[in-house]
Amino acid sequence: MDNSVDNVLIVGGPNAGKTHFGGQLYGRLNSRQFEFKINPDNRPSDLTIFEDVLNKLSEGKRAGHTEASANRSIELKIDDKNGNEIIFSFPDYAGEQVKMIVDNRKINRLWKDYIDKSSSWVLFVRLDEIDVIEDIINRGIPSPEEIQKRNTKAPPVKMSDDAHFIELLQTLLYIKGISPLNKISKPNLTIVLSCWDVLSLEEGKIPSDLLFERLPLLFNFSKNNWDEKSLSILGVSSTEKSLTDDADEEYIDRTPIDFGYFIDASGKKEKDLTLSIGTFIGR
Amino acid sequence: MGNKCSQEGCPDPDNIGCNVEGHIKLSDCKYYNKEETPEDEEQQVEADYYRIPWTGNAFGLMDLNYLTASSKPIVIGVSGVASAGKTTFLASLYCLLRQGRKIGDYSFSGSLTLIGWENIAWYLSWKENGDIQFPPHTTSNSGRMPGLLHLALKNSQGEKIDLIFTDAPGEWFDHWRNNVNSENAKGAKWIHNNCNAFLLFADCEMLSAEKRGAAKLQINSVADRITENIENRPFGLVWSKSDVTIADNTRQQILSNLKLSPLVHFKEFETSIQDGEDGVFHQNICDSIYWCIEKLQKNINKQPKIKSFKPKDMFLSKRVING
Repeated sequence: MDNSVDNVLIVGGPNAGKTHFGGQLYGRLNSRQFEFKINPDNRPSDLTIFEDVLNKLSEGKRAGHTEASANRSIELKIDDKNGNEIIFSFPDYAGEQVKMIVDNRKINRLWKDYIDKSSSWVLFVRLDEIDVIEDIINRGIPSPEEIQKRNTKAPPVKMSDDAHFIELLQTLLYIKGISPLNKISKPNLTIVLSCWDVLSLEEGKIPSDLLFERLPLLFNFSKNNWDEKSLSILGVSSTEKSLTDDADEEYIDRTPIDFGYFIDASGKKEKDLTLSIGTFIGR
Repeated sequence: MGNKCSQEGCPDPDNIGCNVEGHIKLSDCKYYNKEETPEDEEQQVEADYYRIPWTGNAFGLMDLNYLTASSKPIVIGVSGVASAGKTTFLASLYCLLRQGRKIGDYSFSGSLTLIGWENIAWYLSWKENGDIQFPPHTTSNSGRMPGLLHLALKNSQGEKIDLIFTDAPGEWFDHWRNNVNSENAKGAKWIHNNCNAFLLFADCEMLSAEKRGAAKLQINSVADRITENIENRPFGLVWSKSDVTIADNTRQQILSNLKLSPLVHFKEFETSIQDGEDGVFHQNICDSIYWCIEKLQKNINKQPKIKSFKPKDMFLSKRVING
C-alpha cells in the first residue's frame, strides 16, 4: 500500500457521535485556521456526506441520524503545517452496520473493502450509553430487598459492551488478516471516548484511565494486542454541549468551529480538533 | 440440507466458515459445492459475505483446530461431581477478568468463545430485576466432549498463552469414578487424557451437610481416577463455597487421601462467590489458574550438564555430552 495515503476508518455503533465529529472536523479543516488544512485546490466536489450536519450545526441544532442504507465515503486531501499531504478518507454509514457485524458474525463486501484499504482505525465508544456491569465481583450478592426493588421480568441474556467491542475488533483483525501473536503496529488504533462533556468528569482526567475504569476488558485487550506506539486513547466532545432540535443562539453567533475539543493522552484539553488526525494516523 | 463441503473435517461451512482450507469467502474453496446452491437471489447475496471461523460459543473438538494451528493451548480440566460449582467457578473467573483483574502477571488479550463466557457470566450479573441465579446444571446429554472455553492472555513481556477450560457436566465424573469404560464416562476420560492441569472441586456446602459421607466418597474416588497416570501435571484442589465452614477432620480425610497419591504439583485453593476477607476467595480463583500456568512452565526438562574443554577460549571450548 502507498504509504502517503492514510486511510482512516471510523468505526462506531449507532449514536456514537461519528457524524457530529465528521462535521466539526470538516468545518475546521475547511476554515484553514488550524494545524491541518484542507488543500484549497482540492476541495471535495461532493459534500453530500456532511451536508446535513454542517447545515444543522450552523443553525445550532443537532444533526439527524444517518440512514441505515447510506454508504458513502469522502476523500479529503489535507495539508499539515509543513505542507505534507495526507489523504483522509471518511466513510459515512449508519452505526447499525457495526452492530450487525458482531450480531451476524459476517462482513459484507463493502466493509471488507473499507477494512482492506484502511491503515488506521478509530473506534468510537460512547461511555454515557454503556451500562455499568453489576455482578457478584463488584456488587456482591443482592439482598432480598434489592431483589424486591428490582422485581420485574428477568431480561434475556445480553452481551456486555466490553465483549461486544472485543468481538468487533477481533473480527476486523481477522478479516484484515492480522495475527494476534505479535503486537500490532499497523493499523493504528485510536479509541475515542466520545461525548466527553456529558460524562461530567474532573478536569485533567486521563482518557486511558477512564477506559480502564469503565471497560477494563477492552482496555486490556487493546493494550495487550497493539504496540504502544500504535495505540492511543482520546476523549472527544465534538459539539462541547448537547444540542437539541431547537436552535442554540450562542452556537449561531460564535460559529460551530468555536465549539468542541478533544482530550489528549495526557488529559490536556485541545480546542483544535484537527490535531487528532495526527494521532489517528500515528504521527 | 446436506453438507455443502465434500471434506469430512468441515461440517457446516455456511455457518462456521471453511474449516479445511480457511477461505474467508466460501465460494473460493474448491471443496465447497457451489452447484447445489439454488440460484435464487438470497443465496447470491449470501455469497458476498465474508465469515469468521469462530462462533463465539463454547468450542467443540473441531473448533480447536483453528486455535491449535498457531499455538499449543494449556487445557485445564475443571472436574468434580454435579453441583460442585465448576461452572460458577468459570463464570466468576470471567467476571473477575471483566472487572479488570489479572491472573498473576497475565491479563486478558482475547477469546474465541466470548459468547460462551458471557452466557455463563450472565447468571452472576445483576439484572434489572436484581436477580442472581447460579448457572443451571450443565446438561449431560449423550456428548462425548466437554464444552471448551477459550482465553488468550499476555504477560507484561507480551508473551501470549492460550488457555482452554473444560465445562463438563458432573455426571460424567460420577460415571467415570464408577467405571472408566462406561459409555457415559467418555467425556471425563477425554478430559483425563487431554488436560495439562486439573482442578478438582470439593463442595464445602455438601461436605458440611447431611450427605457429607457420600460427598467425601465422591471426591476421593474422582481424585483417585485423576491421579492415575498424572505424572507431573499440576493438580489443584478447589474448596468451593468456602464461605461454609467444614469440619477439620473432613478436610484432613480428603487431604490425607491425596497425600498418598503420587502428585508432583499439588495445592489447595479456597474459593467462593462471596469475596471473603480482603477478597481472598476471589483472589484464589485467579491464583489457582496462575499456579497451573506457573507449574506447567516449570515442567521442562533440565538442561544436561555439558563438559567443556577450556570454556573461555572460543576455539577450544569443545563441548561433548558423553566425553
